[in-house]
Amino acid sequence: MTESGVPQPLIEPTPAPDRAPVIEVEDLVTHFPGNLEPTLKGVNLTVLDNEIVCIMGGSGSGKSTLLRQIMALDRPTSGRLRILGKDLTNLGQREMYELRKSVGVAFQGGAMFNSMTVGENLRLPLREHARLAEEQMEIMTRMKLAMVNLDARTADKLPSELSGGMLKRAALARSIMMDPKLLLCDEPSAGLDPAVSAAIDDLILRLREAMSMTVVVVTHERTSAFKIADRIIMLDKGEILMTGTLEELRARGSQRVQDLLEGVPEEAELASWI
Amino acid sequence: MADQSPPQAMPTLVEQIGRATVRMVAGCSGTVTEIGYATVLLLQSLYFLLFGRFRNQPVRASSVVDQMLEIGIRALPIATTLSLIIGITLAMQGIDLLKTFGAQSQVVLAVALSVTREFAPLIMGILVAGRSGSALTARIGTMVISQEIDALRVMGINPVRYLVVPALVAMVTLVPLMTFWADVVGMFGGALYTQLELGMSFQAYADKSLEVLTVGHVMHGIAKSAIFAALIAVTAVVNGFAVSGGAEQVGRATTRTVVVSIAGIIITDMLFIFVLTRS
Repeated sequence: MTESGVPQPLIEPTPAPDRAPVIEVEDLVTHFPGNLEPTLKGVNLTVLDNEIVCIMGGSGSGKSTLLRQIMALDRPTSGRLRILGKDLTNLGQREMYELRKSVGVAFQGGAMFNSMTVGENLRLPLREHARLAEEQMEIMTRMKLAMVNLDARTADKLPSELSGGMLKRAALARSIMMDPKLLLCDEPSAGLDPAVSAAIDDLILRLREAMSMTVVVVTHERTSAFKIADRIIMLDKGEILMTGTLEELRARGSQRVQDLLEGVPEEAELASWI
Repeated sequence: MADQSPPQAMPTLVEQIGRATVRMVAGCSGTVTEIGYATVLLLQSLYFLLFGRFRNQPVRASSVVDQMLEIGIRALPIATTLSLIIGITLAMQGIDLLKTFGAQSQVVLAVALSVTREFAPLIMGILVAGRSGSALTARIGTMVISQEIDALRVMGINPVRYLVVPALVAMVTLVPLMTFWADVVGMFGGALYTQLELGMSFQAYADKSLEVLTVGHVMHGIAKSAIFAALIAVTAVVNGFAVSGGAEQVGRATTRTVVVSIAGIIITDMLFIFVLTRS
């Protein structure tokens, strides 16, 4: 905030066009099993290096489906998906294994392994992928916990002993253990109170700066998206309505884009709630 | 507003038969899919066990030991108690029935053969299905719901290698060992009752048992129990991975694991005996 009380943009809103693409999606079509209607209907998008891109849209718009495709958890019906220059459609097991090391994922509910302590959760990717001594792994765990503003003693706690905000931070810490080039976050501030949610947003911005990562965030929290996104991808009914900075969306977006930006539900959506 | 939709007509007999057929075909197709999935899981498990270390996906010995402790060591008190009771029960039944022919001392033969060939593997199989099979399904099912399986995959950790192989190896190793233990304890139970009822000493009972038993009899039960163990592990894993939705589905999946495993154990037992007695 400035002295006049006008919020200052925290980041450069328009990405430099000479950056390398980290995610390239071409004509992506997906179906739920047994469903004839596609969930994603020919989606095209590009995410550039060091960008923070927020994917927004109403419920059932296909945000999470798109994120699962980018995570390579589901296979598309058709289309092409390139992550960090690797084409996912014809990637072998070994290459996929290598690619996974460069992509960090923070799930909506944290997806921390409940039978392990937070420290064991954080050390798991290191234990599996890096040949490090226990002491080195301990140091790295403490370092990553500090990066997400968590006390080193949190490492000894079980995920069930953490608050919602702490759990999200711990999940973020685990997702950056391998120093990924790409971080994918599914609803990172959902279900948190506004203060904790704002702290998570700041954390994502700081992590991007500190680790020079590309970040893709799926969110329905408008405040968060407006604060952290370099670009917003507005998804509706499996199609991209518009892509651009918040200002571009506000200036040139259709009525539906404006409604989605303001959180105004569609009539059919409203009827389904009632 | 009044409901304007036309009233639903009662389905005709032909329609009912048609719907039942569609349901049956869908059910059969589901079963075939599950059998196919179980086969793939078994083959993948074998692959990771043999080649995992060369593909940067080794099966951790510590995970196998953890599973062994859970499946075998922690189940030892209940396994021992059940085996002892089965041995005593068989001796009681045997003495009572053989009394008709004045051949009560032949109870040793009855207990030794029925425990080693049939009861020990069956009881251990049912115990492990109810205790460890259901726990494995619940664990995997809960992990599916809370996206922990997805988390493993995005971390480049194959869930089959990380979760399935240790459980499978632990079960296939521990259940035969538990069966052997159940053989010993079951026969001890028989000896205990026989001493009280007929006054036969432990030494005499043991000598007679060893006279009757061959390695083949003991191996018959142990081989069967290894098959039961693989069956339980695969059933538990398939049901665990099939969980979708919420916690209620985990409950259903665990129940299904126990029912399918026990049914599978009994059917496999019958087939095993059928094949062996004809070869």
